Amino acid sequence: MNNVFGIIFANYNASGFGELLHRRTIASLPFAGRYRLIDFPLSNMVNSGIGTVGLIMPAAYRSLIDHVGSGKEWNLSKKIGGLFILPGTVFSGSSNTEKFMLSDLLVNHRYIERRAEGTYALISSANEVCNLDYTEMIEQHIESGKTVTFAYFKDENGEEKSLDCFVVSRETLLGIIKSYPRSSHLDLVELLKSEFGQDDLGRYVFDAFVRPIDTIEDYIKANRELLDSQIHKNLFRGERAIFTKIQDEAPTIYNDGCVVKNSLIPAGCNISGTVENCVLARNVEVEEGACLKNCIVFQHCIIKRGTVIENAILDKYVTVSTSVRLCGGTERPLIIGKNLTL
Amino acid sequence: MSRKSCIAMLLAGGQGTRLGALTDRVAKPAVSFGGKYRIIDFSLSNCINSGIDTVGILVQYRPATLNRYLGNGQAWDLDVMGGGVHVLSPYATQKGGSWYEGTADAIYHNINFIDRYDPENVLILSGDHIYKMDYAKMLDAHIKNKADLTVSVMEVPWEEASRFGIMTLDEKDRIFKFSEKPKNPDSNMASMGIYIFSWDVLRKALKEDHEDEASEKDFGKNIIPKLLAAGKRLFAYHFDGYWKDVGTIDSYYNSQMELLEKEAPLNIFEHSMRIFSNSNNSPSSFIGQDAVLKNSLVCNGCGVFGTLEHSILGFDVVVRDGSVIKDSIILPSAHIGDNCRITRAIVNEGVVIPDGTVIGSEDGEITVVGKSL
Repeated sequence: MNNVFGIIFANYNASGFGELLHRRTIASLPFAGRYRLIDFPLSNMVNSGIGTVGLIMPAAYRSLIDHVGSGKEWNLSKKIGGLFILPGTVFSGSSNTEKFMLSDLLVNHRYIERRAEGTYALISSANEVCNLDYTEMIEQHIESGKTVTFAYFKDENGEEKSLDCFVVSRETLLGIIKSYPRSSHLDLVELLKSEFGQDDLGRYVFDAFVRPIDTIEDYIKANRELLDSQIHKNLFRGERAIFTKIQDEAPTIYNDGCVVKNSLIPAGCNISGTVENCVLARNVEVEEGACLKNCIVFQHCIIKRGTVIENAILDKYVTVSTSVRLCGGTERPLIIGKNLTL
Repeated sequence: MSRKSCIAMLLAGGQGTRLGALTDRVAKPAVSFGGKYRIIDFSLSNCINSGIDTVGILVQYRPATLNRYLGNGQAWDLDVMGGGVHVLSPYATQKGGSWYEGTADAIYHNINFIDRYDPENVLILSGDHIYKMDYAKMLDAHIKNKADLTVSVMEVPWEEASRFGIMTLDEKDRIFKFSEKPKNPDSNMASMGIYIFSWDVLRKALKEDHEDEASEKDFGKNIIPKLLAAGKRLFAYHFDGYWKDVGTIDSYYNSQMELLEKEAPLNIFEHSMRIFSNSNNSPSSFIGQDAVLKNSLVCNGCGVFGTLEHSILGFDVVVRDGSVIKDSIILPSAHIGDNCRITRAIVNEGVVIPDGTVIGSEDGEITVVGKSL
């Protein structure tokens, strides 16, 4: 796929996630213990042979740039192509309505004009959990001669839903950039749909596990689904890997007396208590007699002895003191913000 | 290029015959350790943690896995300009070629490599020891003593002294006698096989030793005795931390089981003097509904559906339903089928154990499963 370059709009931010997206964008929301949502589009592009990816950054970019770095983990730190960090516009810094702000392309037109090599652009949002090969979609797009091909997927009920991902030629993009030099508030997808007739718009339907994360409910549901070992295996252990930042932690130690059931646990944890139906991140410590059920726990949390936590999401560096009891609802979990000590 | 104070040469060519099936396909330094590490990680991490950014790695026996694992040294922050990791294999010249015949011979054949960095000192390391050590402190002692050679030593029990190379010291830690595996030791200071040489002294000694046809071209047997006889300044550097030679199945097994102790003598969890490894990109481990885990270490990418007791799972290991793994070390990518019983065993990398297999027993020798059954 040398003739395709990627653009990921990582500056869209969802609402309703409370503290979790207070200082990070949804693209850098932790997922499945070791990953962040940006890993999915980045890995999918690289796995489809796309070697040049422009990443449009949100205003609060610290966590995202900390994660992607030079792009080395995705094989995107290189001389030919690689990862291009593109600034987002001020207006769209915290957009939670438009995912594909035209203004972001306008400020980055040089990337499309000069730096990105390829005839076609694959454009994606950064909040879909999926392991996809875009090759067929791109081939279909080229053969069909359509102006744009939009990706769809079938949800659990078999309904076709938009994947927020599409292929378009570089020429078309440059044409739009020229025609709308000052139209900062337009959405690129809507513009393409209104600019071109039905006959110019193609569609490609992926038959795969795709979970868009637009709401906190989506997030909880997708994490829960991964506690089915088959779904977890299909998403991460198929023929294509999902790449992420490697942190090189020591193995996890499971001490005598721990009870761990149906959970996802990465390296670097220290577990002495009970963990059931949970997704833990690296460097989580669960002390003796502590009990975690149906929780999503981010990095560096410490759960002290005698504590019971059910249906909660703990952001990074949360410490829960001895004998605290915290219970959220199954559908409305407790969200505990970063750095808190309870 | 500015002159380097010290570069390291890491001897990683040994076969490690006493590790049996574990070194059938890989060199000893590339053997898995503690689930996610390989033995060489300890020396390499010590280098970067001690501020040594140039490491020549002398390979010979089955280097493919080791080479692939080392890559450009990036996993240990050793991908640096004007330094980094260099794999040095035996090579041919116009006069023909030869294998490295001994530890000193391996360094002799790479004199040109070392000269290119023009170091003041050269640190000689083995790639098969498990320990955390700040070589910078040893280098400080070497410089302070104006030594020609500094040997790292540790105190061993008197009854074991005859198994080691023993240094006899004066009150200022100057070495005046060296005896290889003495029957009646007069000291219990054992050499750890870690040397810092002043490069000009070593360079000259290597050239002279190369001309000596009777020499076995070994540091312990030839170079050190010759320097001592020549009245060079040889000093001991005392190390009192954890250090293990994992050259035998027993020591390899026991030193890993020590990681499971409450107050493990070697702390792989602390971030100071951290041990780095060339980690892969596996997802979180999946712990099943009926899994039981007791006092065990588990890496990324595993699927645990059975019982683990006092055991270590390397990355990407699967333990299927009903299987019980006890007092065992399962190396990376092994697959244990349903209803197996594995006790006091080491299962090699990538080995597939079929359903219902029973391996090992509570007492007696440690069972090593080298190949798929």
